[in-house]
Amino acid sequence: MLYLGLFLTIASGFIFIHCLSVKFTLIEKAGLSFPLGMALTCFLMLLLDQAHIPLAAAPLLTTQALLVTGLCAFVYFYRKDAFASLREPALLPSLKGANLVWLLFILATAYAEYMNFSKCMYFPPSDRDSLTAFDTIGYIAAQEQTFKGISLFDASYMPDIHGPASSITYAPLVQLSYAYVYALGAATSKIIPGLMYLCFLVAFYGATLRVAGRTGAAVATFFVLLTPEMLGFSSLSMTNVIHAVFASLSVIYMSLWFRTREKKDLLLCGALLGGNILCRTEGIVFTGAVMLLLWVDALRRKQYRGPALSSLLAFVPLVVWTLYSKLNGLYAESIAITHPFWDAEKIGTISSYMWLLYTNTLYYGWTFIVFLIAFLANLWFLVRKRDSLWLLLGIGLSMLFYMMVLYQIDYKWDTIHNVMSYSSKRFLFCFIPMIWYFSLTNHAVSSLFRRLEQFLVIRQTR
Amino acid sequence: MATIKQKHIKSMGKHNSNKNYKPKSPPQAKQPQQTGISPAGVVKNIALALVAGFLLSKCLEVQQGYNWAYHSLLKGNMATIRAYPNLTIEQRNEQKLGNDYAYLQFVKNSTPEDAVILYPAREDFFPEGIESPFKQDIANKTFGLRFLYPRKLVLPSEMETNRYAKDITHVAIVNGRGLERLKYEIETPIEHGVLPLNR
Repeated sequence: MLYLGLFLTIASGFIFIHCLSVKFTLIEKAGLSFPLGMALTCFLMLLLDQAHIPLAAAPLLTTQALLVTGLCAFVYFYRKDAFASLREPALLPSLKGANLVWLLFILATAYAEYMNFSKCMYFPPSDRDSLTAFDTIGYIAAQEQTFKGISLFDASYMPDIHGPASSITYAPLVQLSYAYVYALGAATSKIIPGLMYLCFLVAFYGATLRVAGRTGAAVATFFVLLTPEMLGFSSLSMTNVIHAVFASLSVIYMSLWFRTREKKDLLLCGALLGGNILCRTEGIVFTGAVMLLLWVDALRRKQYRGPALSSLLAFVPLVVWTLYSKLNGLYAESIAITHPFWDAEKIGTISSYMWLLYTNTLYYGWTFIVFLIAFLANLWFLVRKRDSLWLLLGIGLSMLFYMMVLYQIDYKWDTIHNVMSYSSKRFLFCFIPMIWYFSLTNHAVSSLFRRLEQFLVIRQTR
Repeated sequence: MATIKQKHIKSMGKHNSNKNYKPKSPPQAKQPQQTGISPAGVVKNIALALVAGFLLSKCLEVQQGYNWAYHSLLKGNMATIRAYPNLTIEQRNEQKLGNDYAYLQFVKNSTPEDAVILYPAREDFFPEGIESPFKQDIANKTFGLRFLYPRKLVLPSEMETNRYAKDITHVAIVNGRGLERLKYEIETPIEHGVLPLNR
């Protein structure tokens, strides 16, 4: 049953992408199918649970089968080119122009991810955050066949459940996806983080390939994979890396929209933002930053339809989750300071910890150093030709909003020093793929890789 | 009806006519017609792949973070997996969680599924001045529930607030603590275990 469920999840994601557009490359479609399919499944689980339909294997599989049928019908009637697109040479992976440097990085990435995936699947969830929240909530939700009504959310059984920073208010995608696999008979929830990271690497490679060329995309993907702290967390059952999948790809597809002005990227960006907000509440910083940029651009160009559709895809999950929480009493003592205030010491503390993170090569390898070099190398193109401007604005604004969120939090359940020391390193995971994407797709660096690829052409030409 | 290819070409045309600066498309679209393998191309590929491979291996040695990620995190764990490929989920849990898991499994195997267990407090698991055999966050009730569900857990601090407090059937004992919560005296004190509340 688990394999059938995973097949239906991937199929729903795959067909959903075709509903957005048939013009994504097969690599992008392959990479995005599972994350989007899982987000759709969890969204449906919320609706089922609200309708008091048990979150058991039979109702879940039946609903997914209906979803796949509905999406197929949409594709049949509105995307008549879908089947032809699967054979369209421009959208299929090709070895044309391949070189050994590219092959080396692809093999290195595949080998490292093979080891990472094996590790993920071998060890059951053992980290504190999973066992005191996400994995346990998913496990018990599957046993009790409900999410809103599980015993863990019953204040008469768990008296502290409405306390500050309680797991009752955590965005539901990760817990529901665990509930899904447990309901289908999985022994552990590790198939979810394992497949998420694997598919993310494929999707990231596919998106980067469109701009950087194959060698640049392979190098970027390898270094994203090998980012030490992120790699370590990618095989745990925590939310941060899964959140990074949605958040980083949404900003990357936003930048692809500004680069190519193809509506498919705009819609996909919206759908990924929807998944991002279902992963972690602070995902709102990415939704805020991306939407601000999209609407500034829309007002400038006086074209509103695309951004409106994208906003719809981004905000519907947020609205549904908020309503679901309100209707079912999933609330906790607020940790947000909702009024403006000035605390220079707090700003100093946050800034100094963030600076320590940017310069920490043990956590993030050479990510920020490469970013700085690429930024300086591309400065002329950035200033004169606005190359990668929107991407940099997206990264910068999201980072600023993140710091604002950290500033507006009332640290009553823990000290700010503990949060910044132990948790904030995980907040930066979302930015790692964006930064590597920028570092390899900006004009200066991508030109270098283009020359390298021309130098390495194996086949003789006329 | 326009084919996909035509539409694709149209959209690329639109893209090129945009006044804003756009970086060039990836190179493969512009490559000249190919006829055969060039020996010079092969040599250049092999030479650069060797250089890239050397730099990559140096990077994994020199940079501490990448070194840890590759050698300890990936290769180290793969060595464990290859050494113990046939462990059950329970054995893998014990490998990761140690005594915490062993204790919870013992409690699980010693109590019926409908048991309501008076679960030790944090200070019972980790008493001051004594080295506790427990290492993880076992004192967290949700952590305990992950392995003891569907049994119900009640913490000593919840005796007034937990609706199952009146239905307690068992008392969990750790580090010799919790015996005073039993409604009877036992002849031989135990260090770790679980006992019925009433004889």
